[in-house]
Order: sequence, then structure tokens, then C-alpha cells
Amino acid sequence: MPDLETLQLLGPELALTGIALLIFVLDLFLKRREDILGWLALAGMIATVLISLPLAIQSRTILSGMLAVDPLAVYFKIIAALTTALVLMASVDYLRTRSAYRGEFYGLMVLATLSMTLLAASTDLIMIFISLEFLSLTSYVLVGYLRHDWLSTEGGLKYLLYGAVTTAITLYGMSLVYGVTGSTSLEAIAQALADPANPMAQNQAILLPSLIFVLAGFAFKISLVPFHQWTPDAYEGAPIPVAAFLSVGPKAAGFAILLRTLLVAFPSLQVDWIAVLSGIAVVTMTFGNLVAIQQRNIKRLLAYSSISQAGYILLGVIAFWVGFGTPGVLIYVLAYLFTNLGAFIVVVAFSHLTGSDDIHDYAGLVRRAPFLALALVVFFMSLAGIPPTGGFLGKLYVFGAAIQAGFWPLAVAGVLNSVVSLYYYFGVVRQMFFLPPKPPLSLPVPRALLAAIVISLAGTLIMGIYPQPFIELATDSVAIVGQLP
Amino acid sequence: MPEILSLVWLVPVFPLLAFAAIVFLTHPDNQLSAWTAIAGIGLSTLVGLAIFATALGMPTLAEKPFHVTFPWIPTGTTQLTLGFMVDPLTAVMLAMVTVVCTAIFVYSQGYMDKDPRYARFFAYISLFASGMLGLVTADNLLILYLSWEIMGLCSYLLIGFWFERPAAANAAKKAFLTTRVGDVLLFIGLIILYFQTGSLSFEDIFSQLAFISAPLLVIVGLLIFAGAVGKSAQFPLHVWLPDAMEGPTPVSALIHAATMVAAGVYLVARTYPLFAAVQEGPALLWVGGIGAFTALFAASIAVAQNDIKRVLAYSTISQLGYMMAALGVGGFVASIFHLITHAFFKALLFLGAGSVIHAMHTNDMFEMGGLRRRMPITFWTLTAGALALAGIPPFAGFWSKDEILAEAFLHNPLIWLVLTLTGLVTAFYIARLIFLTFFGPERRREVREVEGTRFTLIPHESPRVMTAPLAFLASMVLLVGLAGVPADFPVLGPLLGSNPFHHFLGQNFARFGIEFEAIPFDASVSVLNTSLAAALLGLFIGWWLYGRQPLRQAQPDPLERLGPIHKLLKNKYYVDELYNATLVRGLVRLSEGLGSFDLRVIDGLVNLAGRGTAAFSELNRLFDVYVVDGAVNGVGSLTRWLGRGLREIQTGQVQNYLLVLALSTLLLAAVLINVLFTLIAILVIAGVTTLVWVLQPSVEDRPEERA
Amino acid sequence: MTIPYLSLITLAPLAGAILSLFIPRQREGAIKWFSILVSLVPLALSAYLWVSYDATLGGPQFEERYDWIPAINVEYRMGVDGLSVPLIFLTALLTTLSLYYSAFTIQERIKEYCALFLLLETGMIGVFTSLNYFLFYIFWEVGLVPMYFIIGVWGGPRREYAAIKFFLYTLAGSVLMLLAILAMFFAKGSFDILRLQQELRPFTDDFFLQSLAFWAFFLAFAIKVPLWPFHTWLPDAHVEAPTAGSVLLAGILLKLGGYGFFRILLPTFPQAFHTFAIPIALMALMSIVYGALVSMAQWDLKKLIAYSSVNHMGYVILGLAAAALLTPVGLAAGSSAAPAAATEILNSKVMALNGGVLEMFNHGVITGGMFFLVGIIYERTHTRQLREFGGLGSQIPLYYAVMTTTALASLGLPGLAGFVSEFLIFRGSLPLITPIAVIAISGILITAAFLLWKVIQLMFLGPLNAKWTGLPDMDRFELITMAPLIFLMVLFGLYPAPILTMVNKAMSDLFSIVPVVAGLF
Repeated sequence: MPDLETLQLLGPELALTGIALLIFVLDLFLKRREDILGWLALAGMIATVLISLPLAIQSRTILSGMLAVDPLAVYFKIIAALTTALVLMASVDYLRTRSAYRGEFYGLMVLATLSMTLLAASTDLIMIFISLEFLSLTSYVLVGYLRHDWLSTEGGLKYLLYGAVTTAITLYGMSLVYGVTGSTSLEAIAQALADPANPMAQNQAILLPSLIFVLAGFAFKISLVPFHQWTPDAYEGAPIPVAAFLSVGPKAAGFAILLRTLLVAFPSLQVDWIAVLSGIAVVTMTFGNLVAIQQRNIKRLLAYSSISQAGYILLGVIAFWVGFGTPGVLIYVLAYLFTNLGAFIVVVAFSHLTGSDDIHDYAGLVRRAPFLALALVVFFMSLAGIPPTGGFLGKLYVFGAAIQAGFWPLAVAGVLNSVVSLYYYFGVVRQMFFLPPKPPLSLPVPRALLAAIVISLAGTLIMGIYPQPFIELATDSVAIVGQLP
Repeated sequence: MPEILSLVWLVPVFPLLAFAAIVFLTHPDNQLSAWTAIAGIGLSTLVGLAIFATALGMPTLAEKPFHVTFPWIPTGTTQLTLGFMVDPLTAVMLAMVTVVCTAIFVYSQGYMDKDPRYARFFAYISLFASGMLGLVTADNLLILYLSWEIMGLCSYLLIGFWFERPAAANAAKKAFLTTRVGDVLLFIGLIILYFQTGSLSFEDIFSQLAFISAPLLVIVGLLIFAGAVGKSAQFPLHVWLPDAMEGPTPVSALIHAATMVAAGVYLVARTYPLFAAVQEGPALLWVGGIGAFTALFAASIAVAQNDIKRVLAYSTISQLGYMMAALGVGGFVASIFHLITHAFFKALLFLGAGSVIHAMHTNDMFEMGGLRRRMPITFWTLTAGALALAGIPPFAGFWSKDEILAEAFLHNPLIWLVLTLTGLVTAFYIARLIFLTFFGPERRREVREVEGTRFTLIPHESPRVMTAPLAFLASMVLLVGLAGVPADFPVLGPLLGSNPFHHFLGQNFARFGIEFEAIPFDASVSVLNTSLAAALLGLFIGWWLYGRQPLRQAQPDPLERLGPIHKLLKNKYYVDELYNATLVRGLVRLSEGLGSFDLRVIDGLVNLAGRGTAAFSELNRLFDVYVVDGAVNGVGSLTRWLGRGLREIQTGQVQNYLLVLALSTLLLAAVLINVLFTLIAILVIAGVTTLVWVLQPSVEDRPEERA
Repeated sequence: MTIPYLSLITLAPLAGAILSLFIPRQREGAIKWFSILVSLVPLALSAYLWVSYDATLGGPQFEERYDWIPAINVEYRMGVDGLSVPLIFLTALLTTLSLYYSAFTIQERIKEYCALFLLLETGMIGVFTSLNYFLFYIFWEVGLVPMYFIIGVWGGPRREYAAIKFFLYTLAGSVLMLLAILAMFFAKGSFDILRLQQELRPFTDDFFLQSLAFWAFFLAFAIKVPLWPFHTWLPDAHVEAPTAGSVLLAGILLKLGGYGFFRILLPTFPQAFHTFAIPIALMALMSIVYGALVSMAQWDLKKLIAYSSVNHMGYVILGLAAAALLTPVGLAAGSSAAPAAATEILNSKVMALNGGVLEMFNHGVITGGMFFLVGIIYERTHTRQLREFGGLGSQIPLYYAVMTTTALASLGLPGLAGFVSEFLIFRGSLPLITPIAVIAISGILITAAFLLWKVIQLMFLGPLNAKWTGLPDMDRFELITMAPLIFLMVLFGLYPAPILTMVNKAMSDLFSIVPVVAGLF
């Protein structure tokens, strides 16, 4: 029976559950004023952050070792809540004209956030799987949320089918791991694998495939090549705020659980998974960038861009043991949150105002909405890793990690890729600044969207100019995993 | 009063100030500008002559030359110091340069009258004079080089003064670039000396010559000589000087007499200790050889030229050859002596020719004739100059040329022979010039039409402002040679104070152990007679061909009877054509080739990298669409094909995604397990890919097109 | 509390840029004059720096040090020495002149234009003032973005291609530098530029790593300089950039690369530089000769001058490569007996470096002026094709005079600024790398040839092309723009001591640091 302390430690999750339920209930009564639900959800996110913060001093597991309450989990919980908060701010205006059933949307967003907080804290394969499924299910619905939009529906369906198979593979992998180690707890798995007396633990022929199968599930969430194919279709089909959410939230949660699983459960196999992830990282960043060059739709461009970004972050995971490694992942994810959400929110705003996602329609944007154009330049600079932005700090860390760990070629591949990426990011900039504008000449941006952009912009720039607190935060948050061999 | 020497730095500064004043202040006012320039050079002349006079009275000047120095820039642990100096060589040059320049400045005031760029002209020549005066007063190679280049610049500006004429523009460019070839070599020599001795000052360099290895010293000598070859228009860099006639005539006079070309000879003279330091070294031999060759070479070209100024131009080249040859055989004093006398008589010849051109509005001697009566002052003064050039006593050229020949005879008979032969040719072409211009009928009358009435222009004597300098120079041509009359020359020698010029200059480098002894008249009397005979013979042939029976209008040059030889001479041995065909065209071709290489290959590579990335990215997209999406789209089609008649219940695409997903996962697992498995997996993938190629996916399956 | 001069100089334009965004778009005059006024702040302060920098003391002065990111040991450290002071002044001067000139010539989107120029100024000056790699790199990259926009928005017909080419090319170089900076940080735990070269000395024990880091830095700087064969972004960028953009591109942005060579590459990796000096000297040689020849092949005035920059910057690198070499080559036979040969070699090295720094300054002044002049004629004729001009000398004599002076300075005529630097470079490098330097000197000839033939003769000499009768001569604002540059050309041509005293001290100190590092010098 969970005691009071456990309930306290489950505070963020409980708050999110409560908010979600409240929204669903209120939705029944508030027929025409569903915007309020959006602001309620936003308040819930702020509450979640506030409740999470004090938990960062803890370091323990609860619910029979199912969930961890440690700085790492708290860090990613805050990330999840921040992501959702910004997405919510971007959604209210956007959805108003597009859907009549906004209450469910906000409720689902809160639930998705809940699933992410759970995923970030899971320390048991069963819990991981459940959270993963939970996140997937809410995401499927969100992607297909615009049920009259053919693309949205198709995107949701694809995502669902793809996710289903991945989940199956992951579950199969987990069962193999359980078979080999006799446990589902991550720590117990590590112990079993380190036990020389366990004959199964030495059986590479089973262990390695099972590791890969488990990773497939995470890679699907992070959309690493070759598990990325759903990404462009889903982003393109989904309502843009959802695409923004997918590009950051599940990805962050995916990295959280990837870190935890690999570092806690499979340190003994690190030689193997480092090799595999290195290959995946290079292929992911390169492939994402190269295909992004060809895109004419900004959502698809950002989709491929987010694929490549995941490849960079992976460098931090690969070089997890060095000083810049794991903190690098955390820093990059935070910077990426501000940056990518910022970029997506600009796209939301543009789409909201003009109804277009075509890059050609961004021509002359600087004359029509100078702030949007300027903000997008900063976000693109950050994505390409040009100082003084958070993206630069993130890249400094992950590439630094690769160098510190001695993976020179990975770092070189990374920086060269960021040069390539600049080409397509600034392809959009070129449209916005160098080409003549299309009418109408003035695009008034709704206030909520503006606020969301300003917050993202501030986050991006502050991280670039005064990164000290963020570095400290990230370094403290990995204190536990950092002590691992 | 040796204090006057400390004003030496002012000598180049006055004309420089005049230049600045004209450029920034007086240029709207023509007359004021001209007077500013004349005032500048006049002040320099005053100071220069005062210094010369003072120096004459200082017997120890050669032992202890006078210096003023100032620190210029820090260089590592040392400081580079620059300065000016006075020694006998400088004093003599100062006197000559200032006086000749003043004459030319005054003359220009008349000659350039009505030119729209009158003020600019005086600015340029002031700068020019400043450059030359800086050159002769410099106590170090850097200021020398700076002045050297300023003169190069001014010659560029002045030769191209009438730059609307393409010929003038070309000539200016040619002059600058040709001399710059020599300059660059001089520059290298200067740097080597600086590195080897840690200083640029002549005194320091000369006192440390012993530390420099002999071969290097020869190289440096040749490099310096190369600079002189460019500036003094010696073969093979002589090509610019005749073209330089495109400038206004006073400029020609300035370039040919007192400044520009004299600078080369002066440079070799100034650095003479360096040449002398390598005994029996080839450096001096090169100087002598090139000089003698150029003397004959240029004189022979002068013979066949019709343009009065071109004749004089080749004559200058030839006379400079004399001076170089003199230096080459050790005749330091003789060379400077000839430099001085030549400055006067060549200035006279040019200004005289200018006077003729001013009257006739043409340069072609075959269109002149009979001017003797129309322009008496010009005629008589020009004749004096001509006799000096031909080496007829008592004109200045005779004394200096004779000294050179005596030195050559003593040290290198071959050079002597060449120079004597040149004397004959020289006398011939100058006689040709005089007879064609001043004797015989008036071969052409310029006719002008003003408002329907035809006027025949009758040539007349030039204005005072032009004839006065002519007269002055003519008197100088008579007098200046007397300074160098050998001490034992009958009657004149003792009368004139036993060769004061030689005495003054011969000690110039005594402090470095180099002294020059005058050759007694007794030892060279046969040389003198030979050269005099040659000169008279030359004059006689000239009279025979052109004076005995003056040419009528349109009558061809008697020399054309020489056939191909005449053609060769008239075309200057085709050196210009050779350079154009090889160097100039080669350089242009090379640059154009490299230009397209840069565009196509180097930039091409850069663009190729960009395009390669783009192409690769397209390939990736295709891979994504056709192989990943479509690949197994192919399998979908295959399924469809196999299960024809069955209705599809799902979009084929997702199935395909899933298949790829499964394959990828297996592949990754395979990589970890073993290589064999990997190969099998690759084969499977490859098989699927092949299927895609066989079964083209339909367009609507490409997500790109749907967007 | 001392006044933070360097932060003021660096950040004042940034503040001005931000402030100018609040001026209403329609008040163009106010925007123009405000930005000019703002740019006077760094100009005045940098002039003060120059005057009050103590050249006898040397070393970094006006230092500012604050903790910035203690987590990774990053300090906000600024300081200037004899190398950076002249370049900072040059930057401030050219920016002010550019803004002034643009105030009369730019018609559209003035607000963005002025703000971008001020932003660019911050980026450029920041590179010269930073003494911490983290700070350095930020400014280094920040400078790219405004220039991208300046070329892309206000540029010529192919501006988009040129802008992105410039951006990608230079970025490609600098990201590798970032990796090298990180590698040094992980090796020694510091981002401090001076500490790394003076005390910490990364990779002294591992030559392979040192070479890797060296080439990474080298690439970043060589692309920026640009050294052959990394130069092809330059002609495109120059031809398309607006006049003031070209001025700053040639005047300052190229100097960032050169500055990197002096500030970082040589003192931090002396051993690697020494080892690779000959290949680098050969690249410099190619820049000089090849750059001059390709310049000669151009018919577009702007492109011609762009290539001539390749040539001139080649001299800078030649001097550096010579200074990095240990023994004099070629002249060794004769020099053994020469007095104090060792001192002479050291002096040669210092002179080569002095010449390089001076050449950077002079090239900024001269080529900056050149690009202004190109802009001035283009504004009137709307062509840059040399074949279309002709005989302008009598039509626009003032312009002819100014252009001729600038061209003569560019071809290294003694008495004008270009000569002194070339003289020092050749003086320094000839004894050290004789054959290469001798061939390189031929570059002087080619430069003279194409400037006289293609620029002066084709534009000004010969009969007047009837098309241009009535072409107006230089305006007053154009004269005012050119006047300071011409003044500097003459001043430093005749008396370069004010700048060289400072530079000489900085370069001499370089060799009092470096010898300890590698035991080489």
C-alpha cells in the first residue's frame, strides 16, 4: 500500500493525472469556451514543474523499484512539462479554427506528458514498456486528431501501425532479456549480466539481438535511422503543434530512457552498443540532413532536421562516460527543446496566418512579419550550431564529448553535417530575407503564439550567452549515472 | 662654412613641397603653379650649388662624407635609420641636376603654354626633380630606392601626360613596367645587402663587404646592375626609352639628360666599391660589356630613324652605354664626367629639337628642312650640342668621351674598339639630323584652314623663354668640359688647374681603398686622334649623303639603298616585336589560362563538392522514396501481382515500412552476431532493391509529390 | 574601477544595432546618422587605445577578466597588444566610412542595413579583442551571419549563390577549428588563448595530435585569408556584395584569418608550423603569383581587385611561413661569417612578421579604398566591365587621381603604404626561404602590370569613350570617404613607425615566448 511519502514522490504524475481528468470532466460542461481548458492544462504544466523541482534532491526508487525519483528523472519531467507548456501556448489559437473538440486535445496532451514523465523515471522493463505504449497511444491519437484531414488521419494510422510493430519487437527483446537474466529490473539485469556464474549472460547470440530489439523501441521514439520512416509522414499529417510536440517531447523521453537502460542495465555490453550507436548516429545525422535539403515543405524539412538532430545527441550517449557526455545529452535536449519548439511555433504561426507550409510561401517574410523571420533565423542558427545560441552550446558539448572520448571521426562527421544543415536552414532564411514578399504585407501574430516564441527565443539565447546555470543543472542531474563505470 | 651641408635634406624637399603645394593649393592657377615649381627647383639649385661650392673647398670631404640621419622604423632588436649625405659624387651630381632641371623648368613654362593640364605638368616635374635629388643625396639604399621608384612613377605620369593618345598611354605603361623589371631585381639585391650587413646605409654596407662571400657579392652586383639596366635603358631593357618620346619634349629632356636615365649610371657609380670588391669578378665585365654593346647597338638604330626625337632617344641609350662601359673598365671619374657633359648637351639637343617641333608641329625630319634661317638661335645652339655629341673639341662631349676611350683602351681593347666605332656612327647620325632639319629646301609647309581661308604656317623662332635656356645650355656645353681637361694637355691643362674634376671625384671612395688616377694625355694621344678621326669621318659621311645634295620633298632616304640592313635598323632589330610575341603574349596567355583554370577547376571543385552533396542528398531522398518506401512497395506490388483479384485492405506503404523496419532490425542484430549473417542480410536487401528497379513505383506513392 | 574600454569598443555597436531597431523604419535619416554616430564610439576609443597603448611594455593591455562559465573554465577575457590595436582601429575606421558612404548610396531597407553593419563590427572587433577561445569563437561565427545578409539582400545578381557560398565555405573551415579548440581544452583544461600558448602548451608530446589541431586551425584561417587554393569564395562574394560590404570583406574579414595565424597558429603550434612551413610557403607563393595572374585575366573591375586580395594576403602568409622556419636556406654559405648571424635571423623573422601585420593593415586601407572606388564608378556607370570604360582621365580627373594613388599604393610603390610592408616581408623571408621568396617577388611585377594595364589604362587613358561624356566627378561625400584612407596610405608609406613600434614589440615578444615552447628558435 503506497504510503504518504510515495504519494508525495509521485506528485508530478498525480498532478498531471488530476489535471487530465479535470479537463475531460470540464470538457463536458464547457461547450463553447474550450480555450479555458488549454490555459488550465498550461497551469497544470507549471504546477508539474514546481512540484517536480523539490524532488531533484532525492535519489531512490519507489513502487517496488518500478520508478526512480532521481535528478535525471526530474530533469526530463521538467523537460516534458516545458515542452507541453510551449506546445499548448502555440495550440490555442491554431486549433480554434480547426477543430471543435479541443477539450480532448488538451486532455490528451496532458496524458502524453504524464506518459513521458513516467518513461523518464522507469527503472523496470515492464514499466518502460507500459510507459512507452502509453506515450505511443496518446501520440497516435494526437497525430490523427484532425479527423477530417486526410493527411492527419493517414499520418496517425501509419504511426500507429509502425509503432505497433516496433512495440512488438521491443517486447520480444525484453522477454529475451528477461529470459537471460531472470529479471526485469534494470539494476538486477546489470547484476545478472555481470555475474560470471550465469551461463546465459555470456551468450552473445541471444543477448545482442535482444539488446537491439529493445533499442529498436527507443530508436523509434527518437526516430533514429532506420526507424525514422514514420517521422516525415506523421509530422506532415499531424496538426503542427502536435508535430512540434512529437519532435521534442517523445524524443527527449526516448533519450532519457535510452540513457537509463543502457547505462544502468547494459554497461557490460557497452563495447557492442557503442559500436552500433556510432554507426546509427553517423547515418542518422547524415541521412536526415541530406534528405532535408530536398524538402519543399517546411514541416517535412523540420522532420528530417529533427532526425539529424537526434543523430548529434546520440554522440553524447555514445561518449557517456566522459565529462561532456551525459551532461551533453541533457544540455542538448534542453537547447533543442527551446530551439526546435521555437522553430515549430513560428511555423505554427505562419501556417495559422497564411494556411501554408510551403517554403516558397515564406518569401519576403521579413517584410510581412519581421519578428517571426528574425526569430526563425535565430532558431535556425541554433539548430545549425552557430553561437551565441543554445544549439551551439549543445553541439559544443556533444562534439566535445566525442573528442574527449577519442571518437574524432564522429566529431568530424558531426561538424561537417552541421555545415550541410546550414544550407537548408538558410535556404529558408534566403526565402524570408532575399526574395520579394507576397501579399498581405502585414501578418499580425496572436499574442499567445508570440509569447511562446519569445520564451523559446529567450531560452535559446540565454543558453547561448550565459550557459553556466544550465551546465550546472545538467551536470548535477546526471550525478547518479555519472558515477557508473 | 660646412654648416651649409646640413641643409642637404632640403634639396629634395623643396620640389616635393612645390609638388604638394600645386596639388593641394595652386592648381587652379596655371601661372602661379608654374612659378611655384620654378621657385621650388630654384631654391634647391641655390642650396645645391652652395653645397657644391662648399664641398669643393673641403679637401677632407671624401674621407669623411657628411651625413644627416634620423631613425625610421624598429626592426626586431635594431632600428632602421635613414639619412642623407654629401660626398664629392653627390656634390657634383647635385650641381648638375639642379642646374639642368632649372633650365628645363623655365623652358617648360613656354613650351607647355596653352596645355589644359599645365599646372599638373609642373606638379609632376617637381615631383620628378624631387625624386632625382633624393636619389643623389640618399645615404642609404632605401631612400635611393624610394626616389628611384618615384622617378619611375613620374616618368610614367609624364610620358603618358597626353594620355588621350593611345600611343602615349602605351608608352607610359611600357616605361613603368620595363624599368620595374630592373627595379625588382635591384630590390632583391637591396634585401640581400640588408640581410648580409644588417644595414642599408652605404657606409655600413661598404665597410662590411669583406664579410660577404665573393659569389654572393657578384650576384648582388649583377642585381644592382640589373636595376641600372632598366633605368638607364641598357640592352635588353632599352625598349621603353624611345617610346618615351610620346611625352612632352621637356619631359624627354628631363628623362634623358638630368634625371631618370642618369640614375642608373649613378647607382652603379654610387655602389662602385661593391663592384670593385670582387677583383676579376664578372660583375664589372658585365657592366662594361653590356654598356659597350648597347652603345653600338643603339647608335646603329639611331641611324635609320626619321623621328627627330627618336634619333635623340637612341643616341641617349648609346651614350649611356658609354658611361656604363666606362664604369665597367674602371673609369669611374670618366663615366661621371660623361654623365655631366651628356646631361648638358643632351638637354640642349632635346630642347632644341623641342623648339623645332614647337615650330613645325611634326617630329618627322623628312618633313623639315631649311630651318637654318628661320630659327637661327635654335640652329646654332643645336649644332653646338651636336658637335658635343659627336666629340668634336672643344665641346664638352669631346673631353669626357675621350677620357672614356682612354680608360677603355687601357683596360679592355675590345670595348675600346666598339666604342670608337660607335663614335663614328654617332657623328654620322647627328650630322644626318642637322642636315635634314636645318639645310636644304623647306620640304613641307603646314596648311591650316580657318573659317574658309587657307593659311600657310611659316615656322618661326621660339619665344625667349625657350631660347634663353637653349643659349644657356649651349654656353655650358662649351664650358663644362673644361673642368676635366687632362692636366698635361697642351696649353689648356695647366691653365685650367690640372684637371680639377678628376682630382675632386677621384678620391671619392678613397676611404674604402679605391682611388682613381687620371690617365695622362701623353698616354692617350693616339686614342684621342683615332676617335677624332672617326668622328670627323662620321660627320663627313653625313655631309656626303645629306648635306652635299639636300633631299627634296618626298625623296627617299639614301640609306634605303642598304636594303634589308636598313629595314632591320629601322625596325630596331625587331626587339619590341620579339618581346611582344614571347613575354607579353605569353604572360597574357598564361593569366587567361589560369583564370579559366581557377573558374573551372578550383572553383569547379568547390562547386562540385556542393553539387555532390546535393546529388548525394537527392540520392538519399530517392533511396528514401524508392528503396525504403517504394522498395518494399515493390513487394507490395508483388503481393498485389501474386494475389491478383484480391482487394487491398491496407495501404501498401505501411506494410513496406514495416518490412524495412524488420529487415533493418535483423540487419543490425546481424552486424553484431557475425559477418556471414550480415552478408546474407545484405543479399536480401539487395534482392529487394533489385525488385524495386524492376517494378517501378507509381507516382502517387511518393510522399514528396503529394505535399 | 577602470573603464572597460575593450568591452565598450566591442559591444557598443551591438548595443547600437539593438537600439536602432527601435527607431521607426520611416525615419531613414535618423537611422543613418544614429548608426554613424554609434560607430564613432569604437573609432574614438580605438584611436585612444592606439595612442595610450604602451609599446615599450608590450603584452596584453587594457585587460578585462571575469568569470563567465566556471563550469567549463571559460573566462570573459579581453586584452589587446601591438598586433590587435591597429586592426581594431582599422575595423572601426572602415566601418564608420562604410556607414558614411552607405548613408548616401543605399536606398532600400536602411534599418536592417545599418543594424547589420553594426552587428558585423561587433563580430569583427570581438575577434581582435578576445583572449579566450570560447569568446573568440563566438565572435568569429557571429561575424558570418551579418555578412551573409549583407551580400544576400543588397548584393548583385548572383548574390544568393555568393552569400551561401561564403557562409558555407567559411563555416566549414571554422567548425574544424572548434574541434581543435575542444581538443586543446580536454588536453589542458583551459580555453585561455595566451595561457595555452605560454604555459600549458597542448600536444607538445604528441606531434600527430599537434598536427591535427594545427591543420584544423589552419584550414579555418586559410579559408578566411583566403590562401590558395581555398580562395574561390572570395571573388564571388566580392563581386556580388554591395560596395560597403566588399570594403569590410576585404578590409577586415580577410584579416580575421591573418590575425588567427599570428595570434594562434604560430605561437600555439610552433613545432607543427615549423614542420609544415615549406608547404605553407608554397601555398602562399601560389596565392601571390597565381592570384596576380588570375587577377590579370579578369575584365570585371571588382573581380580583378578581389583576386588581387588573394595576391596581397599571400604576402602575409609568406612572411609567416618564413618566420616559422628555423634556418636560413640558400644564403647559409655566406652568412656564417656575417656578424651576429643568429641575431640577424631573429631579426629577419621579426621583420617578416612585422611586414605581415603591416601588410594586413595596409591592405585593409588600400583595398578597402579600392572597393569604395569601384562602388563610386559603378554608381555612375552601372558597369564594372573594364572594356566599357576608356579615357575617363580627362572626364573625371579627381577620381582618376584618387584611383591612381590607390592603385600605386596597391602595387607597392615606395612612398605609399603597400611598399613598406612588402619590403619588410621580403626582407624577412628572402634570407629564410630564398627560392620561394625570389619567385614571389615576381608577383610585384604582375601586380604592377595588371593595375597599370587593366585598371589605369583601360579606364582612364586613351580617347574618351563617348558614352561617358558628362560623367560627373567625385562628390564631396565620396572624397570625404576616401580622404582618411589616402592619408593613411601616404603617412604609413613615408613614416610607418607609429604602427611598427607597436607591432615590432608584439612580434619580438612572440619569439621570446615561442623559443621556450619548442626549443626551436
